[in-house]
Amino acid sequence: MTRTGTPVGGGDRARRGTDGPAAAPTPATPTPPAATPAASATAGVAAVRALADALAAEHAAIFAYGAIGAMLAGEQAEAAASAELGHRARRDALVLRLAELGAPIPPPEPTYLLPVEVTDADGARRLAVLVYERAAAVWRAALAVTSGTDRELALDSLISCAVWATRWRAAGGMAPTTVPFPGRPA
Amino acid sequence: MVFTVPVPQRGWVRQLSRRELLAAAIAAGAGTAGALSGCSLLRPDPPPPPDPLEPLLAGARALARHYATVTGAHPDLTGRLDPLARAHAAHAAALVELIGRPELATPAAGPGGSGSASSAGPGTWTPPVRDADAALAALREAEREGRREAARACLAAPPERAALVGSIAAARASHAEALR
Repeated sequence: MTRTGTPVGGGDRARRGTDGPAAAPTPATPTPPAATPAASATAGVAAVRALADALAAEHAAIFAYGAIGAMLAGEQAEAAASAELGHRARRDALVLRLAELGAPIPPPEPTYLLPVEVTDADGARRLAVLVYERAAAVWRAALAVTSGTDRELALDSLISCAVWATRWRAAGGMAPTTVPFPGRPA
Repeated sequence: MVFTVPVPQRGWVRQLSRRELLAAAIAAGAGTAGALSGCSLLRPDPPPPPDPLEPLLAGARALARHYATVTGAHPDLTGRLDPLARAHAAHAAALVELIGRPELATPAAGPGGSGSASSAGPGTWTPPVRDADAALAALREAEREGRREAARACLAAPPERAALVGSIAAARASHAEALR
């Protein structure tokens, strides 16, 4: 899948300079392991970690949509705005949930490395697809370690990632527009 | 009768009785053992209870057949629909592996997952194949229903199964989107 150069999807994010989103790629530093949270009464350590990873992915998606939305017009710009709202809603839900669990809440990075240059609409759609492939992997991993409403959130999010990835592939003329196992490691 | 015989013979009679009892016990034991071994050798084990994911497996195969039916009537849609049909076949294979019962690799009855268009089970689903748009809309609805089923299965699944079943739900949702 997008093992290399996709820090924006959450996971291997890295700081970069203050120049534009298309800054020269620097080696992305691996995500430092999240602070191990205290075991919660209502979610295991693995679940809390997975939710924190998901929050990092949502932060990154929101950042990426800043670049994506700027390059799109008309219906696609509206779609991007709507998608970004979805990410913000999920971010808020995750922040609330992690707070409820008494777990550390990873803040957004000041900036993120973008895996592709976003200088036009094509680049914007490619970036969107990469964001969703990476986020789908994070949410899919959460399924196995969560239960109840946490797993519902993970499943809804995985489904949303798959649907949006398909929308952006179709909008960008990429084929096929679907993958057989969204979020599964390649 | 025992009461009529003299005392010395009574001992003999009783001894014989013990031998008979012993022989009978041995015979009975052998018989029991034979019956038991015959039981385990000849009678097949009872079939295992159905796996909770078997309906999802059947659903994946049914979806693959629906696509075959539609592309059979509209070959021009093959390029667009084939990746989706192949995904359902891949889901079925992955579910067989996850369930861990290789005999499920062959559907018990009905056409195989890769069956030709004409072999799609009559009575299970009859897409409106004459009109391509209506056929696509019917596939979309089937995918939506399939997504709901997979989502329910994902939420009920044990941890080691949730990820694959969740991916299947997401794939079905993305198929519905691709059919718009």
